[in-house]
Amino acid sequence: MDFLLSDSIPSLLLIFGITYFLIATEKVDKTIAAGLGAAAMIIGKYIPYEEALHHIDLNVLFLLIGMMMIVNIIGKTGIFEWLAIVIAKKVNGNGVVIFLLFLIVTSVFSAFLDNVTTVILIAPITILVTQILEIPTMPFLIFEALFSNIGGTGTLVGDPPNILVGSSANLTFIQFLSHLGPVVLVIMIVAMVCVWLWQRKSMQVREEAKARIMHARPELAITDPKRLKICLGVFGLVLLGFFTSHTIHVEPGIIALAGGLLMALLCGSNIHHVLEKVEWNTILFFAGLFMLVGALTEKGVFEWLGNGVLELTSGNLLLTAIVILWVSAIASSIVDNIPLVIAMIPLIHTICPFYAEQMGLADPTLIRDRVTEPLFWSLALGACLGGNGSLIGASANVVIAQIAKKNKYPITFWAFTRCGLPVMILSLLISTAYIYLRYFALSAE
Amino acid sequence: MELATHLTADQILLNVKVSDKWQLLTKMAKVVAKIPAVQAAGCSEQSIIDSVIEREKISPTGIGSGYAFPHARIVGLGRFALCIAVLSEDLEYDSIDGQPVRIACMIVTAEENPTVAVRVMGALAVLLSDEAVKNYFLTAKDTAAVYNYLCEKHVTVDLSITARDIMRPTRITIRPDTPLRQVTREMFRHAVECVAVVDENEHVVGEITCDLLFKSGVPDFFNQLPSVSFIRDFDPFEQYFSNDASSTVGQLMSKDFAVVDESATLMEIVYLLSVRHYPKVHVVRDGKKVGTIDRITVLDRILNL
Repeated sequence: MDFLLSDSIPSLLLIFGITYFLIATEKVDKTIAAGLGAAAMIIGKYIPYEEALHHIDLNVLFLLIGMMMIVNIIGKTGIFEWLAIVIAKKVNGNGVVIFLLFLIVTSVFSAFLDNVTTVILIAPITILVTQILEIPTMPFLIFEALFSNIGGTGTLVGDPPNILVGSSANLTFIQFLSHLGPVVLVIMIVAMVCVWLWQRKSMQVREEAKARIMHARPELAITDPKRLKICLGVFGLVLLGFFTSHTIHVEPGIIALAGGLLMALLCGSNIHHVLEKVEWNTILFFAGLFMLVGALTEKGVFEWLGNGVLELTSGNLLLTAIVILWVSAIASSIVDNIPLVIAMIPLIHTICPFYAEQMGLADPTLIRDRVTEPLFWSLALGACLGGNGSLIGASANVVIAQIAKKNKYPITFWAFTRCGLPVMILSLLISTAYIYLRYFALSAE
Repeated sequence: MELATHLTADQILLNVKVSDKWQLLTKMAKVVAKIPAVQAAGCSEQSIIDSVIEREKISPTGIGSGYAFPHARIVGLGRFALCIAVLSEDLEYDSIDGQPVRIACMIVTAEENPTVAVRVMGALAVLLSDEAVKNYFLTAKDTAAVYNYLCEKHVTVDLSITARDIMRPTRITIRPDTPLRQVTREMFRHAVECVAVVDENEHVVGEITCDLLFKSGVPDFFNQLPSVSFIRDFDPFEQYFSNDASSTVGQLMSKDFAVVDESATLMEIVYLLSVRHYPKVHVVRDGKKVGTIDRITVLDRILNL
């Protein structure tokens, strides 16, 4: 396949390269870099304005805004504190069991809420509980960040790369759960066994400290029980909406946005305060990147790149899936995974028809099941799990390190990486086996 | 506006002998009641005495350094009226600094224009801050001479209230190298929530507040929890606060503070306190700290008139 690139490509790639360099090196704020990059594409006439707007995936933006609103309202109910104290009391202050259960809670919340918000909500109560029990706080915080990234990998709404992949490849909430849920579960179990073996001796709790936690009254953590019931009711509706979005033909973005607004209405929250907590810089960052990558798509850059990928992998689909998994993971452990995924999505869309043709597939359902989805699952797994590779690999890692530092628990780059890198490699090995077994070895011919 | 235009020799009392401040207030109120403008407004002597005493009971008007500015608002009064009294000896007045009073200036204003009292107080406070002027008043024998002296001084009343008019004198300042422990004790002793940090030239370089002291001891994660009432048996504060026992003011002080020149207007001060939420406004003269204004000061000096 030969693709011709127009004359404007070098300057186009230069703008893209500079923008990516600024985002990756954090020389300037990433929202400013992406926004200016997109503006340069439009001002330089690389993409018409209307086309650029067309590339902004509003489903992704609405989903992010809606979930940010929901999390902001739920976070104030005290449910995290209640749950943490209930757990600590139920297991009679057993340090290592509390550690493992906190990791499960973090994973589950991260699967349904934004990872960063989850760690912001779980970290304060974790510090308090570990101080009460007089057990090391740092392993809790580091592994909570790692498990929030793992948990977030399992669902459509758990991590921004999944939101992007799901929206672009039209993958449903149930599909994410059924395809990524099992592998995430295996990774969690294996990682927890390793954590238990490694940390069990340092988590011994004195009887006096155990007595303190047994005196706690978790019911007092719920600041407003009525508000909590409303929040949980609306959140249940939102989850129901996600599960049935394919059947009721409503995009997850609209479900999340409507859920956030309904929650604000029923809880009597001041909508201005709720909206102030939405990370508008992240939303603008996404919008800028969509336009930036849109210009590249319009100019055929991804067809050209796709050609290169095909040559590199000799047209081998399994090899392509594994390369996508590992390359996106390694890249995500070093730089922000959002721009990577936004750029990878059109590339995958470009190379799919070639594999379909090579495999003699004509039925769109078969092409989707056998070619498109395995590549997108590889991308989602790589981009999400790769975030564990280093302290700067995921926003949740950076945020937990900031919280830890403010509370006099400095987490160094290497202290984090010493835990995160083995977890990332372990996750990727499991994911590689999973991709191979589920989509190639055991896939029906 | 020349202050002397509102004064006559009859409104100046010298060598006053009284047994307590209530007697002083009554004596001065009687003088005010005789001023033609007050009489023309139909204000009775008793109503002026009652108003001044009632105001004094709300909070003492002794501003410290030997001065008192008793005042009151009178319904129907068209303009303000003054009376200056120089006491023959020290009078216990329950002043802000606990010092006795030697010079009192009574100001009675119209109900709808109370802030003029602050402007007159400010003008007189500036005049009397000159030791030579103060001594002249304390040793003067002839009211007509004092009146002429004031005319010659051309004491003017600013049209707007300034920081100089309402500030309280600085009671406590600290240096950046002061240990935090000592600061905590000083703040407790003076019952203040915010203290200016000054350098060797008395220039304000920072500010220490109770809030900052709390935040230095209480860990950050406390701020992130919706509540902590669910924990019944955990009190690690001794440990939290012990970490900073060796720290100095310079390490903790906030460099975001409000400083104004003594000529700053009331609007500027209220803006800093209410809109910018500064706990205090530090007032400087030629760069050196001379006074402090907080919300209570504004309430007392302006809204409480």
